[in-house]
Amino acid sequence: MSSPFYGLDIGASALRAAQQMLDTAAHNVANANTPGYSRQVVSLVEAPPYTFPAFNRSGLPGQIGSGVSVAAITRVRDNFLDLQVQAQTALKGEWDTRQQELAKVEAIFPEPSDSALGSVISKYWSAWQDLASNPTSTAARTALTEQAASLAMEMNRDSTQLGMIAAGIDGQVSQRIGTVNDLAKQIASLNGQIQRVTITGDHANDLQDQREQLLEKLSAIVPATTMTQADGTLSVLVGGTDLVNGVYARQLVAATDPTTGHVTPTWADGSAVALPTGQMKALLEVRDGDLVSYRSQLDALAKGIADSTNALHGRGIDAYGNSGQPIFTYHAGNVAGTLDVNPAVAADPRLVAAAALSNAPGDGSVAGLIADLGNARSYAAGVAGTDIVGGMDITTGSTAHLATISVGGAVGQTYTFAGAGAGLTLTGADGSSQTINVADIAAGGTETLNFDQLGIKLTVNAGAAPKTGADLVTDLTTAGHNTIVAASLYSPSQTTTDFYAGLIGKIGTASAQAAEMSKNQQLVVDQLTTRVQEVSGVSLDEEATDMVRFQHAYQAAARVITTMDEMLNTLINGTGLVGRG
Amino acid sequence: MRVTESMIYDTTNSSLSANLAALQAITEKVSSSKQLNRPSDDPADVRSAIGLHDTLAQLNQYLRNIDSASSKISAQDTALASAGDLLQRANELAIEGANGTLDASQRQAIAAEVSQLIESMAQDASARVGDEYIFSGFRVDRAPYQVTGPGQVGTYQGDHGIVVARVGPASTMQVNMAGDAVFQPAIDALTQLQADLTGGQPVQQSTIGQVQTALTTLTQARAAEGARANRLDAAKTSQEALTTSNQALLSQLEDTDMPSAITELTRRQTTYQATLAVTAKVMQTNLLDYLR
Repeated sequence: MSSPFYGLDIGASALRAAQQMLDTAAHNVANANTPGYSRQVVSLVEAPPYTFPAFNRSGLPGQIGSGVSVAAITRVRDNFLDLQVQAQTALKGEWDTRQQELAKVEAIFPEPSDSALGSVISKYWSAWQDLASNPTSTAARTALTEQAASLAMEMNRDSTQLGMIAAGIDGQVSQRIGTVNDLAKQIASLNGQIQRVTITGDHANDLQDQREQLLEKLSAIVPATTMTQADGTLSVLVGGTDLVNGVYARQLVAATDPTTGHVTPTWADGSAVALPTGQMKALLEVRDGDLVSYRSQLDALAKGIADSTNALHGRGIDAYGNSGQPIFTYHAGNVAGTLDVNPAVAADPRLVAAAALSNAPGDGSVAGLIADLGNARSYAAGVAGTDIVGGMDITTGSTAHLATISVGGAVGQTYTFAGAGAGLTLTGADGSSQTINVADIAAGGTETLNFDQLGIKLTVNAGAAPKTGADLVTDLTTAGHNTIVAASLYSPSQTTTDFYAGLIGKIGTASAQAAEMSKNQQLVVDQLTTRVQEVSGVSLDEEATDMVRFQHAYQAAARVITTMDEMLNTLINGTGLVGRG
Repeated sequence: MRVTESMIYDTTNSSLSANLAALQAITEKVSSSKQLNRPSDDPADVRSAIGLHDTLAQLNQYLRNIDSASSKISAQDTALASAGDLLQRANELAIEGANGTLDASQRQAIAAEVSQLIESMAQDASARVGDEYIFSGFRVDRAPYQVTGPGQVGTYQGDHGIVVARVGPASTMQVNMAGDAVFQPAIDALTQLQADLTGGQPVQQSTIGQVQTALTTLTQARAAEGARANRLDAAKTSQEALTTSNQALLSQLEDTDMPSAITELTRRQTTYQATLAVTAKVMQTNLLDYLR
């Protein structure tokens, strides 16, 4: 027969078990809203049963149970879900950051509007047209220099702001490198603590929750892969290299490029960090990819306008009778940021050249040609003097006649064209042509051809000292004559507005895509979070029900002990009293 | 499926956030009355809108060019009309002067009037718009013909520059006419007439012919200039129509369709309010309310 105190032990074990379960339920309830908390459950197991020792067979029918014992307190966690959450958080970090930075880029170009860069460019070309209609007007000249200054300022502003976004990214990269290093150290320290607990056979539930939280934060910045070791520590790898190994945390280094000032994360040995996704990757990609591309396109836009204006303007004659000076100046490494109006021209608008000829105050043809640049789709790429704008062809007749040709400002060169019926045909790029039949002009008569599209004027007079018509072709295409050349503005050929609209379109598309992906990733992460909560979250209803259950169990166990106590009381105080007074 | 309180809180939070974001987007469209507020709102439409803004700016510029050209052409018309009147009078005087029965003093009288006509012709040729001479080609700073003495006019001082106006995208139009082409025959004819009269002879038939030829030249010039004026008007009408149609296109792209936007706004507001009401109801009850 077993000891009467045996039942007390069983009752006591029941009380202990119920107490622990209640404590765990209380812990769950207390941490119901703690971020990253996974509910803990107590696993109960029967205490080892007892067999009464005897020689051949057990003295009593058995085995007799010896109560309940708490085997372990574990957390309910789906590790596979955790891996998924880390992966998707990294993607979300990438798209969120990309969307934020591109939104800043968009804010620089509030198109479509009447005040942003596109409109300023249109007004610039319009100012040239006004000058072409009113070449003697000082007001038109001043308006032109002011409009050119506005264009330069707007380009400067846009370029500077793009640069500021890049500088802002540098700050963010530095900051995030610090955060990653911090998190790595914390994870390493937690690894140490968890290791000590795991070695003794216990479950480091709360510590593991904390470590999981840190991992999630880390994953948002740099994508991390993890490997759980047997001793409970977690190895964290970033881009295939160890970031955390046991209790040791490697640190990232912020490497600053001496020329650009840009900050890039590297390992301590200088090797690059492989970043397939994450916030860091998005920051670096925007700074080194998107922003560089947008700035170079802005530069190309500015350079196209500046170079073509300057080239044509140089062929014009200003109000003082001199060749036009450059309208725009810039530094080649940073065209849009340094674009400026030539200070001499800005100070004296009479230096703006509208005319193609000297002593022709009413001639606005060069101003008109510059205005046409706004719509220029293609020009033959030119080396000055060898190409004629618009690809003009000159074909001459086969018989000779005396004539004087003055081309642009070059006056007085005579060319011979053979006899009656000989012709001189000028064909423009738009297919229009003019033919002058040299023999039809009376001696001493004048025939004027003006291709305003080409800006070349031929005046044919009867004269002497002949050259041949073939020489005309050569002369018109060699340096020294006032041929007007425009370099190709953009490749593939398009107008300035098309080019600009293309740039804005690219920015808009990139930004819209980032916003869309960010939204989608939010949904994915939300769904995963829900799944995690489904497995590991604390349900207050569940805990409440459990508490009722454990409370009843505790009450029942207490009742068992009371019963045992009364039995013992009966035994101790109620037996063997025969014969006592 | 196991559901915890935090799942419900998270779901309702996300819904409320999403609703508010959509509400904010539609509110922006209504209050700015533009559906394109940034390039990412619709990149393809924004590209088109930028192009249309530029087109409208150019059309506006063409209209300005046309106005500037019109004022020059109407000044030419006035001058040519006046010159025509002068030549008509000269014609009458020439025919009168051809009469052999005139005496010297009568011829002198006619010659004096012709002298005046010559000076008036020079003045007509020197017509200006603002401070620019319109019959001098590119030499708008110099009068084409200057009176050098009583009834005497100097040589043509202008050049043969062609002033053009840009009235359309690939469309330029000559605006001026060279003073000497129009006025030289007239001045030469009048000078010849004066010479005939002061020479003490009756006016020659060839001189009368010269005057009439000069008049024809002037009339033709006027007709050409009238044709130009018509062309300018046509260009103006065309560009104005294009402006209207482009503005309509731009509005279609850029402007918010108010009725549907406001309907959407109301719908979103209702959804938001419904979500709030549901959230309040669901989050209230709990088992702990029922346990003693």
